[in-house]
Amino acid sequence: MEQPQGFVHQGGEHLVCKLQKSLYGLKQSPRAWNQKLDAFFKNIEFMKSEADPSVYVAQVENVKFFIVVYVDDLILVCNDQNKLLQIKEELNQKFEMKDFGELHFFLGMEVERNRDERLLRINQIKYLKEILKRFRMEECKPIGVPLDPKVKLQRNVNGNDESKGFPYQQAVGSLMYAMLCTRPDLAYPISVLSQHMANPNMEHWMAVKRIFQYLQGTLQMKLQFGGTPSKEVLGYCDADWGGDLEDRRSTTGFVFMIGGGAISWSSKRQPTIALSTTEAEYMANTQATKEAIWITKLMMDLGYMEEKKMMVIRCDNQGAISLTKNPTHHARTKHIDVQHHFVRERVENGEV
Amino acid sequence: MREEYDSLMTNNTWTLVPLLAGRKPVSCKWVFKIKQGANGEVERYKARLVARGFTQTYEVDYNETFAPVAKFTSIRCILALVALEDM
Repeated sequence: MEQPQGFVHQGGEHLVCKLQKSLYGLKQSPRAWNQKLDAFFKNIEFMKSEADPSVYVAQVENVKFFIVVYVDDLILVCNDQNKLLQIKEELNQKFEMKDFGELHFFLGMEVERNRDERLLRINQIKYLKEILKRFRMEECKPIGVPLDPKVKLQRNVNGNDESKGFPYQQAVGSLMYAMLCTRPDLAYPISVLSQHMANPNMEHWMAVKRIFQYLQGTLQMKLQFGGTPSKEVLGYCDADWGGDLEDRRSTTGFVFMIGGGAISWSSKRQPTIALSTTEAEYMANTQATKEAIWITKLMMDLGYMEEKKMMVIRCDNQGAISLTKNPTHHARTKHIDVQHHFVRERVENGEV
Repeated sequence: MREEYDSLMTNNTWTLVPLLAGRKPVSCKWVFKIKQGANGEVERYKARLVARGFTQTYEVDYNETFAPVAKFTSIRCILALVALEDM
């Protein structure tokens, strides 16, 4: 690196700085920071979770300790106050850290707790108000449904650029962040709108505005965890059939809950065309199974599942269910691609 | 600025060496920030030396850049357990 301006070494102007440590702004800086943090956690006997490498776990008898890393923001979770203080102290000695006390705000999510009722709620009211304001929708009329059921969005084929000048991509991007954090209800509308990112027209822009109106009406909604004694993970999956009017592909949707609180959700157009509802649901099952396996792994890393336990995924199509259970083979299913039989294999192994 | 420079020095951030033939040094610059208190009053002047990372080339100056960040699902998963276990 060049010598910093104003601090050039006297008599050594031709020399350059060989960096021994990393500096803010270098491409490898985040990596270097993570390695340092990782070494520190390993040193104090934390295990890195295999499912998510930014989660660290330590467990001694009944004391459980989790650390979630988001670059330089950490969440510490422990069921023992003394241990928590001890780790905080160690972190403080090694790095300069600020302790914000109990978790209230993280990545734009507000966290509120009701310890008496064992409830925890997350919301993004502040963020949502901000984006409503940014796209000048703060005074809009609230509406109950995020997508107009009468309108089927079509691709903008004649290439009208009437929506040029509308911040379509920015708006969908901002909504997507809300969807990823606390709003599973937006998963489907966002997946529909995202398909038109490259070439939106007026109709698409109206749909975006409608989502903002929907948010206006549901601003105060929060995602709630807890309140039930069960720690069981439950998955639901469903699919439409040929919902995309142009290429007739179907859409997969699934959601996973722990004790009644949604932790994972997705809505995605399928990569291939399904010839029957059964087939569409069967493909959805495969997607949900992939997620289920990952969640099982995470739960095992966190010490909440002793061994591979069966995870329940609920599906509303008898045909698809029997297809996952029985390796029947006949005229209507013989074309189903190999990758979709993934779910059948997992059912045989007793995983879902 | 002096403060920041001293801290870089005490941390042994770099050593001075002659430039290898055919290599370009990464440029750097000072970034200045005025820290304001809650009422907009000036709290302190802050200087930070930043490397201009965008002038680096992959595999010449660096190769590994991946740093994991937590998935939202795992954050929610842990929050759900926190609520249920009353941690």
